[in-house]
Amino acid sequence: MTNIKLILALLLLMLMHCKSYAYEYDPLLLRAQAALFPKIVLLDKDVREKLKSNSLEILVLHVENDLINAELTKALIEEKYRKTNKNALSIKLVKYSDFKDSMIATAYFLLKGTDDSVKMVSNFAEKNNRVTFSYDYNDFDSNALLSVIMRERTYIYLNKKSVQKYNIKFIPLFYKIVKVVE
Amino acid sequence: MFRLISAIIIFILSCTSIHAEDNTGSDLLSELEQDIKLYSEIATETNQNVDYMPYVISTLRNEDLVELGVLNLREAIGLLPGVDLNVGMAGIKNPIFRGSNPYAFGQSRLIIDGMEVNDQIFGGYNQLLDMPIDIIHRIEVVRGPGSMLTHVNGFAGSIHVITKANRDDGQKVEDNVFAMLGSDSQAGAGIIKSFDLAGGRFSSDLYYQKNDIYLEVGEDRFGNAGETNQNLKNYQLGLNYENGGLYFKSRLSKNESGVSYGQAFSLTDDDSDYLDVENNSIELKYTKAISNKVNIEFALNYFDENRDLQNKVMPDGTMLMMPPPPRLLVDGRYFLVNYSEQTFAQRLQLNFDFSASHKFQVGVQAKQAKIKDNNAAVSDDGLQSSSGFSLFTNEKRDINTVYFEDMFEVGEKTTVQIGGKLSQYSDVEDQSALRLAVVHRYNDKNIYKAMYSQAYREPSWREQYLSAPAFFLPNTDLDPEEVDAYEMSYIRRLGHRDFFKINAFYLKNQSQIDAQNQNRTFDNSDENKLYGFELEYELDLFSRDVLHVNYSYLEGDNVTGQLANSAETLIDVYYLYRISDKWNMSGLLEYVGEKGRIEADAREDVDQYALVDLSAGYKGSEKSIKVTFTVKNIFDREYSLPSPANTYPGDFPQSGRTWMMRVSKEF
Repeated sequence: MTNIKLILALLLLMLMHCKSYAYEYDPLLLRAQAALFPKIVLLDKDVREKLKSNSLEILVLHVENDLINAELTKALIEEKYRKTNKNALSIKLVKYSDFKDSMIATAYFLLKGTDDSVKMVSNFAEKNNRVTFSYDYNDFDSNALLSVIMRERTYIYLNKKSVQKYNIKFIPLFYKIVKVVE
Repeated sequence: MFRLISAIIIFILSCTSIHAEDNTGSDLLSELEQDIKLYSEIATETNQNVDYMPYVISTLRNEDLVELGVLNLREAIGLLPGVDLNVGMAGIKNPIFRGSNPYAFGQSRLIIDGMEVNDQIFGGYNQLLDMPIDIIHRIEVVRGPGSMLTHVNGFAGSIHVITKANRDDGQKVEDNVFAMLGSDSQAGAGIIKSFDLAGGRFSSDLYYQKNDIYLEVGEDRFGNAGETNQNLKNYQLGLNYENGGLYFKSRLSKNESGVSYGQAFSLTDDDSDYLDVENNSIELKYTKAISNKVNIEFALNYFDENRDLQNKVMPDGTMLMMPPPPRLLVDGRYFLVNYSEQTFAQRLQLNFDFSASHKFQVGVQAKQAKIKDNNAAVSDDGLQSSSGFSLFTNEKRDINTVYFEDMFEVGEKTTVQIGGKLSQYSDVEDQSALRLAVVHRYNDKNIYKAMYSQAYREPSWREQYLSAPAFFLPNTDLDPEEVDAYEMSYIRRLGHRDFFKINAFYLKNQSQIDAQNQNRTFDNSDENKLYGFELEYELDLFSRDVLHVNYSYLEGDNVTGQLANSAETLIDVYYLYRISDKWNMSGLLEYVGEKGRIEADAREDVDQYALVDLSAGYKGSEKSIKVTFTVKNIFDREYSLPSPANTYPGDFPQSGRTWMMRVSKEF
């Protein structure tokens, strides 16, 4: 019994001393999103006007302890995008807490964050007619524009409430393959 | 004129530019559609979308299992609702699904990397359940009839193991070494390695593990008590090669063990007694798209199993009454077996992808099973001499099966599955089974399933053709077992991993095969019914943890009017806390309710028990070392699994507190 108490005490001690932890992501979903997201951005009819120095600039927004997943997302997008051989690509990782109004990019990839932080970036993107793509489609409540989900098949979701406000014109055929949801 | 020409050129250029943009747009769109199709296929193959599939499925992932301190496949399956373990002869621990015939070994099917590995002698796969979690990528378990592979005939359940060397999620195989050390001299090590070879991909795993477990047991049927030898030496080698549409998979395995509670439920006093089981499975598969919508799959399979047994089944001084006249066995009696079986199978399947919402499969499979070595002997003079005979009276079984499955969407939210199977046996009655299932996605959070399915299980050779004098006697007139299953399921998705599920089932079992009768002879029992429900709830409370609770309730009967060897209530609770990116800890509680007995067995019910395991783990950055320390049955709870009537009156006591340290590293 003494041994058990000792083990429990040690585990409790570990628990008290370790605070940092990243969110959990579905690896397959993240890979699918990384493959689809830049292609969707390029379907914006006005994407050329939104390039930065002729380059597709993407900001990946993440919370303080989620740097590993942000780096993974960046690596996945770069890996998948390399195969498409389109415009140059530049990806920057930005913490939600460091996000500023000056950070106008071509599009925003939103990893998990608080509702307020997702809303802040989404509202900013909306104002500047930039695409926001959220890992979690529940962020549609926070005005994110697009997401990809895996159900019995893989679907691209477009936020019905936000689509008008963002005023982004995708090529018409795109609307045939997305699901407009509330 | 110059202006006009310039204007025309500008117009042509602008038109070209528009067309170029259109082309780029349509190219991108086409790429986008291809990506959607690709990831849908991966999600289906890897069963990420199990909630939408027309089965009751649970998935167990390596990462969670390692952090929970789960050591092998047998322990992992025990975490699932509705799944319990029963002990048969020679200590074989066999998974029981929803209480369905706990005396049969082949009611569930084990499929490793797409290869079915059930044998013919028992219909079981017990010797492969010691496979360490360290080589497993994912375990998918279907409860109820059917299987995610249409040609596999699961009766009460099917277990699909996807090894790390054969991971099917499009990701590279992680090269890995692992080692383990624990109480009872448990030790083991293994390696997973892959590399490019001749334009294809080669992958392999290899491990060795051992333990020296002895368990105290009370009196056996001869009145002897003492220790049972549960020692195990187990090794496996998996070799795989994939090149385009060509797949080669193989798994070679050997278990060397003690004879545990004895082949005939008697305690041996000879510590050199052994049971060695060797399995080899090979599959060569070729797939080819013959059009945009049709794909052909051709597979050749080979399976063999070799069993060698030496077991002192009667102690010194036993008075043998049958056959008359009675005689005294001064040196007891040994039972010796040298048995091997071989099964060849050929399968041709056509897969039609009529559209993203309509898929159809049709296939034919031929199996030829035969006994290669059919030798048994008894020795009544302490192994100085022996008299041999054939272990089985029949030496072959051919099975030809045709099957189909049609899966289509009705509207945007409903998927319908219709399937059928017809098997022709060379030695038992032909069988057929139907399946009808509907999955309705009310919205992204609420999913409903309704399933009706039939299944059958042919008698095993041990049940039908054994010629040796045994504790349970064979019967050549057995019919296959049959089941009609009605299942309903509701899934509430609460988040990325979080869910609540409730499954209700009603199983109408017919012709169940057991030898729990006065003559101890295998026979088909009358119809019995099992019904109940399973609840599963998984939640991350603090975004860094997993709380999982499952509860199973079972009613009805599985052996002529009784619910024998099966608990009405099963509960599993585990909590996995990822303290940081490096540290994790977990607790696991397993509760198994009281188990009843057959009517002729006057003993008290088998006591309920609750076991608690604790684990703590450390993992470094991406490729650095991972360490897990686990204490099992931390409160050293004494508990037993039920013994058959008239064997061990005090049942089969199980291990007390044990510990295990595991280390792994990617390279």
